Amino acid sequence: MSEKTTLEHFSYDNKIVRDFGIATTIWGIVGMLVGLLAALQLIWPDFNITQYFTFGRIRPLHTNAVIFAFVGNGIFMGVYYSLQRLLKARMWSDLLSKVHFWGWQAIILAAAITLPLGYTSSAEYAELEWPIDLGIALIWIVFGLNMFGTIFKRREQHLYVAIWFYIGTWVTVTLLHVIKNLEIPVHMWNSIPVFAGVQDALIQWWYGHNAVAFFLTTPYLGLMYYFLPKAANRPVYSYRLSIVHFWALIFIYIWAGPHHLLYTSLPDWAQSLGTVFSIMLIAPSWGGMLNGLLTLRGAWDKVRQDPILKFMVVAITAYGMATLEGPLLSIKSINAISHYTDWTVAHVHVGTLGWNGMLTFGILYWLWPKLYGTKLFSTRLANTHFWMSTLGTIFYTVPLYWAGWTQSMMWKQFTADGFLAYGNFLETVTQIIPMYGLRSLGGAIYVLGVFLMAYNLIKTARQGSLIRDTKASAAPLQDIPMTDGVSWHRWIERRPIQMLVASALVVLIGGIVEIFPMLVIDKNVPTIASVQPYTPLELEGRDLYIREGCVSCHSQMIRPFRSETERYGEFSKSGEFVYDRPFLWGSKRTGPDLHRIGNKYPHSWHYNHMLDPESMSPGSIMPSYEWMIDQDLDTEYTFAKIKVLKYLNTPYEFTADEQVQKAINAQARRIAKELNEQGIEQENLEDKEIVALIAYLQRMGTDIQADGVVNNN
Amino acid sequence: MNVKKSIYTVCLSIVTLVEVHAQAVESVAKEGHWLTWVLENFVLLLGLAVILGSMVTLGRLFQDIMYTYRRSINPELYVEKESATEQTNIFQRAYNWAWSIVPVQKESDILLEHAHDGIYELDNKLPPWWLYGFYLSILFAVGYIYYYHYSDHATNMEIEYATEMRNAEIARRAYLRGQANLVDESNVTALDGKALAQGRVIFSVNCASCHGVDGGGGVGPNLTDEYWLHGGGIANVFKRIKYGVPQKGMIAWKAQLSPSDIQKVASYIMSIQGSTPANAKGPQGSKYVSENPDLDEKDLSYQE
Repeated sequence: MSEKTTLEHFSYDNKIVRDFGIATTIWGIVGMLVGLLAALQLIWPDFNITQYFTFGRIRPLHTNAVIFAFVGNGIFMGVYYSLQRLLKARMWSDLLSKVHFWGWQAIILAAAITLPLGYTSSAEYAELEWPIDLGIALIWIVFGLNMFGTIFKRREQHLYVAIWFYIGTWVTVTLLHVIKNLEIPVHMWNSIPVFAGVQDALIQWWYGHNAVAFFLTTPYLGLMYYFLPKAANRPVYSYRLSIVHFWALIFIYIWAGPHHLLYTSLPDWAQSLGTVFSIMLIAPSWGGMLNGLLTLRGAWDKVRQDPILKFMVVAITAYGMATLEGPLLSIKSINAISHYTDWTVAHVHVGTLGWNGMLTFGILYWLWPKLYGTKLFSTRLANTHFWMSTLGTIFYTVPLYWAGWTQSMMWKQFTADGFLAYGNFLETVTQIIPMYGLRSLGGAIYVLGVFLMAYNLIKTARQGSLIRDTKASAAPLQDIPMTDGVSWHRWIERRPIQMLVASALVVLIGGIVEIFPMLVIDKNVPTIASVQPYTPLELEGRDLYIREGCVSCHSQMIRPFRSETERYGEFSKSGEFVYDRPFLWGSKRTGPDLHRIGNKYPHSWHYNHMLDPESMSPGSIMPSYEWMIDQDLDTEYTFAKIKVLKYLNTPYEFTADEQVQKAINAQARRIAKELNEQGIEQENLEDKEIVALIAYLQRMGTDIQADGVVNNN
Repeated sequence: MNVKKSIYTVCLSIVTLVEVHAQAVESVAKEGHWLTWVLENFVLLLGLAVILGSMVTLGRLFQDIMYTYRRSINPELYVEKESATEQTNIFQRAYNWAWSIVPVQKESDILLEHAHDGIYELDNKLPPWWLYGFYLSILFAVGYIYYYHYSDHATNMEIEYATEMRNAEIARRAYLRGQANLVDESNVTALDGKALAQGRVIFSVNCASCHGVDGGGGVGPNLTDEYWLHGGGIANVFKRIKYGVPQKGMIAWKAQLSPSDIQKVASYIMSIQGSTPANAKGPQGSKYVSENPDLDEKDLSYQE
């Protein structure tokens, strides 16, 4: 620093950090309790209370709450604290900070209301409907403006590694959010995605995978780079490693999305790219872990005493385990076992409970005394919380690894004379319910720990008083010639715009190479002549399937394995999904795959099964959907949906609403009559939702049977 | 430091062991290129490397504990040993090279000048094991893509599937050749004794949802009266279970139940004839009169 320049005096905004900290704690508790409810529903279907709180609606509520509310607010808390200090500047605009805070909470509230109401796009981690998507985009831009405004008025020439991660995060999440949510609104709470079938699937998992990468990973690595050296009071292990692993990580991460679609109808070349880029991702991910753990060299004696460092060490270790396991799960032979099972659920929770949760807790314990100018109320309580988090995570994940493995082996087992050893899917479910019990116990321990933390933080706040602003002074930014050699990276660290553009280019490459050929080269989605669009009634039935979140437990993607074709029927072909907007392949089989459910059972079986699943499958953990039997089907928007689909090149011939209504009535009456014949007596049956759902279920996967393409055994 | 690192390495190797097992179970021995072996056992090799690494680390941990213990007894020894332990044996040197960490005492040499909000950065080398591991994973990627998409051994999901199905069929036929007296609709006979109990279990798992727990009917017809839609008697019932009546919603069970299972459940159905359960469904179809009642009763030659 030059001695001649006069110092400027300013202050850091602490209140906004505190607000985000409170939000992350509250939403963390809420999101985890909702998760606990979902876990209990898998053991006792009676926990599915009314149509608004069934597993299918609760599960997206849980994932959205913990990802976007808990972790989201955690990111903002850490970014707002560290960014100001790393740049020696107050946030650009206090107003934007407030708009960001309240806007984000409003989005979360909107999600918490609309998801139980069944307004969902069904895309995993992007379930929210289009008005909320717009809100997210708006608030995200506010965040970006505020961040870049601060960067531009900084008093620090070089951007620290944490800020590279913040910039990379911001630009990538923007891209992901916009492209994933390209959809055409039908009405306020319904929209139709632009891409269909296998293309929608690829974009979904390009998005879904990178939501994990750029919402749960890169911003948290940024936080790690600030809060870990602060808490340990040690220099960061390696600047070079920071550079290499940052650029390698964001470049490679974006390619790995197709590993969520191994052995599906996605073309082989895209699957292989997903596999190899996942393997290449091990080292860049571990770069972050090494840089974290090795920063603690010379401070391990402190780790033994300090709960904050303990939280951080376990968080970073969990990150390392999850990022080694992820690539291994991307190897096709392992994925063949793990996919659709609880193994995946366990894997994600190592990352979320371990990495995101425990790093957030560590940061909160570090921040709170500083924000309130006092000491932590109780280190013992914090230590107790640490052990509860660790044990909770172990109790949560180990049983699920066991469950996933067991169930997969049961699915795949054949008898010597060539039959499935467990032909009844339900057997494989009841086998693992004790494991679900242990998992719930683990989750309960974990969330109880968070309550302890909340108490500790409240007490800490009470014994101090909030320091709303921290005074600071620094010399204004001057263009000092570079002293430590002309490294390209030193160059770019001084140029935020170039950093932004470079990150965007780096992440765009993978996306373009994988997605573009899928959209423009027809060969990637071979068409099947007999595949026709859904009838209007089936279309409405499909929307009910989406509303109820059936996709949370049932896949519609039969992989080309003997164990799947023997159980479910002919494996799924990409050409069968060309009219599926959105695609509904699913990612977890708590119940059986449904792609070939069409014509498998009589209508009455479905009717009885939806009314009371246990009447048809004793011991089933599926909730009852009795309201679909009472509620009238709403066909007000069917024609509007068809118009949008026609615009997207679905070959419908309907030109007026009357034609659509006529088609609906005709098909509904036919199904109602058949139900009658099978002994189901109900007044105005043809007007009910259940008829539309049955129409859809009976249609599923049957189009290629007409060709004689499908003939099992 | 070593204590924590060891714990963490051990955790990793446990996770990896699970993966290795996964790989081992799934990989069916196949003839092929040596690259096949490397690719298919990549996880195995990786797992071995991790296990080896963790064993070395555990060894070091033990050493360190012993060292610390000895040091606490005799502090003078420590001063001597400080310089003596460095660069003694080849493993130690290899280990030091693999990490290439500048020791804490000397880190001021590589401390970068500028601090960000009080955070300093060291400029340690990229750990060589990490860097070469990264290169290795890139090589793996190139090899993988070449092998599966461009080499003579290139394959795809459909080919893999066809191979799996063919192998399974060969194995099934080989097994069946060793089994005498295959049951089918032309020679099926009703069983009794233990087989009935087994049939009852099969019935409650697979059939009860449509035909009622007691066979009195529901979605499907009553199976306890003497009226049958597709003919009564063990042979007809066997046939109906095996091939189903798909247009009426009765699925073909031949893919899910073995012939002997179908025989057992058909025998069980025969055994509940005339049991008149409560709330049974009314008669459907026509009254069935058996042509060879003795066969429908039970199979006297059957020995469990």
